[in-house]
Amino acid sequence: MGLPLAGILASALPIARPSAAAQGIENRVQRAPSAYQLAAQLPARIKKGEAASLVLYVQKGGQPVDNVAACLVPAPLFTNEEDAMDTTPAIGVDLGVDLGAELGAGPEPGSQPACVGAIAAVRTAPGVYEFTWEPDTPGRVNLRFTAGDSQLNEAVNVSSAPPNPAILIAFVVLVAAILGTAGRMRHRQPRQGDLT
Amino acid sequence: MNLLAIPWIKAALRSRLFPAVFQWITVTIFVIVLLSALFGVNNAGQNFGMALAWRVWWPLLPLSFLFLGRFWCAICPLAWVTDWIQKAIGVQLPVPRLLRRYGLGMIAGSFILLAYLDEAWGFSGDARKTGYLLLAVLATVIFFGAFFERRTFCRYACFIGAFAANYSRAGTLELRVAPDRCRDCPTQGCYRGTTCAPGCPVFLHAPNVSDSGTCELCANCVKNCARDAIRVSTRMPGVELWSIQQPRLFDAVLAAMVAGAVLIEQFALSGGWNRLVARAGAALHLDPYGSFPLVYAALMAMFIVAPLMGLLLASFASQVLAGNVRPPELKRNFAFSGYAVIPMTLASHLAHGFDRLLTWSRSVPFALAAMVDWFPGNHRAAWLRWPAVFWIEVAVLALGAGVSLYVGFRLATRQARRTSWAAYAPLCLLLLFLLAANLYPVFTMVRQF
Repeated sequence: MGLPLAGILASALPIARPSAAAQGIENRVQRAPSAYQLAAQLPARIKKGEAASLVLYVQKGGQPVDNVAACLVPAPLFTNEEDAMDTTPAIGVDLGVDLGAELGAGPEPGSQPACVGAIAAVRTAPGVYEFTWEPDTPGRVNLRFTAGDSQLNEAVNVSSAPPNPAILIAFVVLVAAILGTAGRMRHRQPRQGDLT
Repeated sequence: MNLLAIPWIKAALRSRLFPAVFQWITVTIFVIVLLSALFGVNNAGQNFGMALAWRVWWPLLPLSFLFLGRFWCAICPLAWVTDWIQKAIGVQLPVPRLLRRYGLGMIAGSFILLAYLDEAWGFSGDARKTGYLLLAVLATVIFFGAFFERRTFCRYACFIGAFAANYSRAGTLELRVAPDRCRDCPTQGCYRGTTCAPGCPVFLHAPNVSDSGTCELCANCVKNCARDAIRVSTRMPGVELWSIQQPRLFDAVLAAMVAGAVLIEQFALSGGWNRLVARAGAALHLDPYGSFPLVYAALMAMFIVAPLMGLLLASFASQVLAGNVRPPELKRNFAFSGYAVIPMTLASHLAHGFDRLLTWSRSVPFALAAMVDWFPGNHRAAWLRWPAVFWIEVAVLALGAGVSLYVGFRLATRQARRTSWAAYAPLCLLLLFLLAANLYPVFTMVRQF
């Protein structure tokens, strides 16, 4: 899962204000007809294999409800292999199983405590709201946040993170060192017949 | 039946193209899998290499050991890498004594590490992690190939050896020699090699081969033997287990350990898995999801140790009932009893594999299509529907348990030199318990299809 959850939370919470949108982060606001107003702070692109912060703000009558609900999703979350079975066209994030109910997270009455594993595990967050995704076209997913009757739907581009260049370089250097050492040793070895 | 009595099979095995043709295919596939894992879409269902590796190759592996012995090892792309590195720059050092003595421990350790990484860190669900794992294995293979003689890695360090040897012993194919033809052999080409082919890559001297745990069926000895002494024969599954001449303690330990490692993978798919993880987390005072790798390590240790302890207890009880509890006898009984566990473990592995193969491997052609940007639609459906897969799994487990019970009976009878139900009963109970433990996750498995 990459970064420890506490680390992700600590780094994400200071920017969890709509006015402090970081570069590459989009604020999307949707006023639903019901009591809640939802806004989400999403990255322009989610890269599978890299942590991504999906932050949901819930307000009622202009006032924050439960302050701010921070949804943090390290992507990808292959928490079970049934998710990995998905062969739909979208190069989608796999956001894992519904662990919210089991962990008993989500104090907000009327909202479904059905967030994904990483979100549900943020127990210090004041509220947990339903968060689902569905594949769209290749390379995009639709994210849906729900609080009570209110919904926020947003499409996000998804791509796979490239392999870690440090690991690739380490592999090449290691193999070169092995082959180089072996080559030198073989060069120094007496050939058959030299000993006689 | 000696397959080498069939002319075309003999000609094929003697051909220089055997097993090279198969190796070229597996090497090509390995390159595709590696590139796909490192640079492809990071979704196990859409990544062709991932789907092929984890949903086709991995489940088929135990099946190949059952029917073809360790033939996979002869055509393994990593063996090909070893051979070529060796030819190009190999130093050909002899196998270190440490490795000869403790190589089996390394095999067991690397297998457990891989099983742990798969489940605790999601390696089989993450293309990049799979890619890094393949790079690590490849670097290790290059190291062994560059410095040590023959296929040292395959014989003493490959993680697949943890189950390949035992499953092949239970399998239906064996390579042996006609001993009378080997007497006074001046060349010993099977070991040393000839102009026809190199010597045995896994350091076997054909006349000494008495079990199928090491031979890779590469057919080098078939090519090298001037006296036509080699026999490749079919046999009844399990026969080698109850007629084993020199039982080895470590084979028994490996059989029990692998039984536990396979069982926990089955449990991870069962309906009660989350409850089990939550309880283990509570017992260890750890957040079951935040500290999942630690919790899983503890659970895995428990699953691996439990069959080992069960086997030890069954052996002890059997000796007590037989009225002979001397430590050397107990050790011998433990080693013998371990061979009875092998068919059950193999069946468990196969059942687990069939689940992947018959359901999830459906994604392979669609992942292949996705490589060329063709998306024929959403195909979450499996090759076979859930009830069919369920009954196949149950049948395989029941068959494995039946063979295990029979092998156990034959071994107990052989040990006691008479039919001794009392000496057999503890092992019988252990095997039935293993069957029940394997059936539980199958009955409670979370199914999507």
